[in-house]
Amino acid sequence: MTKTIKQNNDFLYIKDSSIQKVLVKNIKNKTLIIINNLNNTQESNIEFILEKNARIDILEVFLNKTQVQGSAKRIMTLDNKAKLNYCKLQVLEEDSTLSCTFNSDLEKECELSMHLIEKGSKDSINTINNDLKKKNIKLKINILTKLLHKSKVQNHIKTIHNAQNTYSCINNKHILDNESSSLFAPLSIVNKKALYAGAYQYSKAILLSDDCNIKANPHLEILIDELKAGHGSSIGSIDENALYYLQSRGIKKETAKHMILQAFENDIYDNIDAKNIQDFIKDFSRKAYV
Amino acid sequence: MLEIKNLYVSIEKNDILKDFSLSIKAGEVHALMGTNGTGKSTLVKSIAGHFECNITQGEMTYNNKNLRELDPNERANEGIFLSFQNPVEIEGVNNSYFLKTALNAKRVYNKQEELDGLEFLKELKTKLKEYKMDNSLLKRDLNAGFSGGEKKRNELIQVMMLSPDLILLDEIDSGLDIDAIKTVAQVINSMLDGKRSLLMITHYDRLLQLIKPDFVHVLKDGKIAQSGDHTLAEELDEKGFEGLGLHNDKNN
Repeated sequence: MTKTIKQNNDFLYIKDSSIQKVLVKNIKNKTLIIINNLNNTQESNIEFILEKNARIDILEVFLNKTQVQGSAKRIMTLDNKAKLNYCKLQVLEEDSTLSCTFNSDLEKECELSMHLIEKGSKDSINTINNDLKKKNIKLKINILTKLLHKSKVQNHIKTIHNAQNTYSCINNKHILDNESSSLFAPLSIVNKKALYAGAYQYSKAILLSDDCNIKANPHLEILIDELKAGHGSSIGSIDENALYYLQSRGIKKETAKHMILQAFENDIYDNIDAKNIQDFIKDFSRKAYV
Repeated sequence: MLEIKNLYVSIEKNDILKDFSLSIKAGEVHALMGTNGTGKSTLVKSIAGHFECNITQGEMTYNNKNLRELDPNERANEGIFLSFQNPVEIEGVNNSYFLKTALNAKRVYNKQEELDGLEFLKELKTKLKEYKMDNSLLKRDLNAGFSGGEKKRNELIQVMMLSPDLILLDEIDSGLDIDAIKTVAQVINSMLDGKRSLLMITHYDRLLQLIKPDFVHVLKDGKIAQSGDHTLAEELDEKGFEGLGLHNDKNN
């Protein structure tokens, strides 16, 4: 089933799990919200097709009522100068598994921003593949991994720069508690055709317990000299000096901790660059949909 | 107001304060001086409940409450404010939001109603006008990217808004130009109403010329070696610690 987005509505909700294609024509600055209420063993495949110059913000919410072993494949097909701001909000209850694969087919001068917000779930794997084979493509991937209990998330991101002036920036922030674990495994390859490319990878993690763990493996393969590239990774607990400073002003320790963690997360939300989606996530309540 | 008796404090197994005693009554202005490493910052941090300070012995009471039984946030809400030498930067926490949270935490502690956004802004505007300060720092993240002078100004804004009863200033004049020091002095002097107390740490007589202390104490080897009035600070400025035999004994 194909859904064509061409109305002037600011919001469009899709709760139909049979959707296979979402075609965006002549649309700029609209918001599409897709609610995926997963059941049992479920597979969901959707291709997002943006025609030339189309722009849209898409929020996909993944949640479940019962235990689920689900998988989802998404293809982002963007024509010249199209811009897709895609956000995945995953709020699964525990003992559920979701494996998501994202592939793309990108034309020149298009922009693809992907924001993955991972909360809960027992096992979650995101595999993201992007081949930047046309000029002036911009790719941004922002991930917030916020886990409790024994949740595990893996993010495998492969980006290949195969054309001039292509840009990729991959940013993963993690907040881990209890016995949760996170793997961040980006691989960015800059081939010889990709003159003046920009390739960046960043990972920051706050560990709130002694039993959680993180593996951050930034990996850049650079085959040319004319480019800009960088990667960085930091892992730590909450800054004690920051915590104490807030407490010394009368703020209780738990509130201070919450403020610092919220500040840590905020730039992931700020990077979404779509107020409608930011507001939706801020006000989101699982109970309203399950 | 504040009573410290026979206090021993160590930091990372190094003994810093040794048998330290001090009494500060309501409305008094005290200055604490001494060479580097004598324990001045350790003292004010201990009063404010800093996690680095390990108190091994002694008593600290504030308004008849045992300070050692109070968490840092409780000490702050009881009326103790420590202005840090190097305030920490907390990116992502909006300065105004932080100040509102701190103010409301104090109000709740004192069984008052919280201020909503508009009420807070009104209160803020009134206080900034009263002390002739602008609100530009409040639009930014807490101390993030602030110059040294801006950080100290931000500490002053917090003092103004939180209205503590005991103000501890840890080298608030360090890194400030003459005009900035005058601004600090103006704000602090306008808050000294005869009930509010002040303990300031400084190396220089300049601040003490502007904020006249009732008492000057010189620390040496972890305790007060000499006390006097503001003339002691003038004498120190003239002769130095070594000249008065008040330099720290490095062998201790």
